[in-house]
Amino acid sequence: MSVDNAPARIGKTVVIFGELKGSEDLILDGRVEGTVNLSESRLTIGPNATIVADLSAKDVLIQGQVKGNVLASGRVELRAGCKVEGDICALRLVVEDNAVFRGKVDLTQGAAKPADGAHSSGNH
Amino acid sequence: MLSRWFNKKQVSGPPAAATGLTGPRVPRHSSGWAALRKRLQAGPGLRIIDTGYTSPSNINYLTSLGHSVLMADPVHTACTGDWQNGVDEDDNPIWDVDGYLDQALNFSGRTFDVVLLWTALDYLPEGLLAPVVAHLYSATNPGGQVLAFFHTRTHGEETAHCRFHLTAGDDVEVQLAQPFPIQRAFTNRSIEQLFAGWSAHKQFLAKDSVSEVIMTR
Repeated sequence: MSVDNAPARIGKTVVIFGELKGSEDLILDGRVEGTVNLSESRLTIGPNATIVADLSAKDVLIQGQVKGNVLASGRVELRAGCKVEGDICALRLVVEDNAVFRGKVDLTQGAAKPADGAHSSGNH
Repeated sequence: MLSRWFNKKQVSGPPAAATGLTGPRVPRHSSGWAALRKRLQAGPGLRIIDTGYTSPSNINYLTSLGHSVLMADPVHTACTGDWQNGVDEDDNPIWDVDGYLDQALNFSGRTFDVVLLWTALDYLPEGLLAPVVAHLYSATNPGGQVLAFFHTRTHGEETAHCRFHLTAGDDVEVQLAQPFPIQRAFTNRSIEQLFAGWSAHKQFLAKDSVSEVIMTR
């Protein structure tokens, strides 16, 4: 059966060194060192993921650990329990309570719209 | 106000977590924040450092005003890392200052306009205190400002390590953070000495045994 619309998935036991590029949605739940570039797609960093890489995507949702810069043309979400160390540049940023973040935030939209507040659930 | 919150904490809810923020947010009027907020609302484009555990509301508030914000947690790094490298011949601790600053306050050469230091200086080990202030001086633009709170006592429930959250009004919201021991209580004189060389120093009346100061670089 075709599952063309399902995102690609990197499982939690997979380790990748190098450059990851693509043009489809991707769920990363393993370990990646290098760079990840999904310029027009959604990148999800799963709760088991350990990422040491700069991330670039349309939207980025982070549940695991990321050490690297995050660049999104759309929205970045930091979920409760994630740990992010690096700079974030995005159109919008959502940070849940108990997400740990150290780094700089630059929103490309500036003061045009109010940003989202903290969320109490992981639904999206 | 804090004692009522502590009492509530004891009778309800799960045990406090060892890390992160716990319990309710208690509003506290802050003349220092009220003064600084005027600058933040005057126009976008400031570069701000906010210290402490990640505060989504601080990130949201500051970015909604068009500023960029860097999150750092110098107290957590100082108190959970192994930064002491033995003692000297007088039994004074030797600190890996460069290593600590590189991990806790690495700005990659960027400079900033505002630093929200909150009560961080009350919880840092003595050997890291002056280096942190000197580092902030070098990372702050001329005219840049530091908002810092200082405990006037070293005992009592108000000395609990807390996170301060910004609001759109003159209050900040105080929330229990990971418990670290308070190291000192500053006097006006000791604050002035620590920030010697900064161009201006404005102190606000102490409330709840916490005084507020805005230092200008």
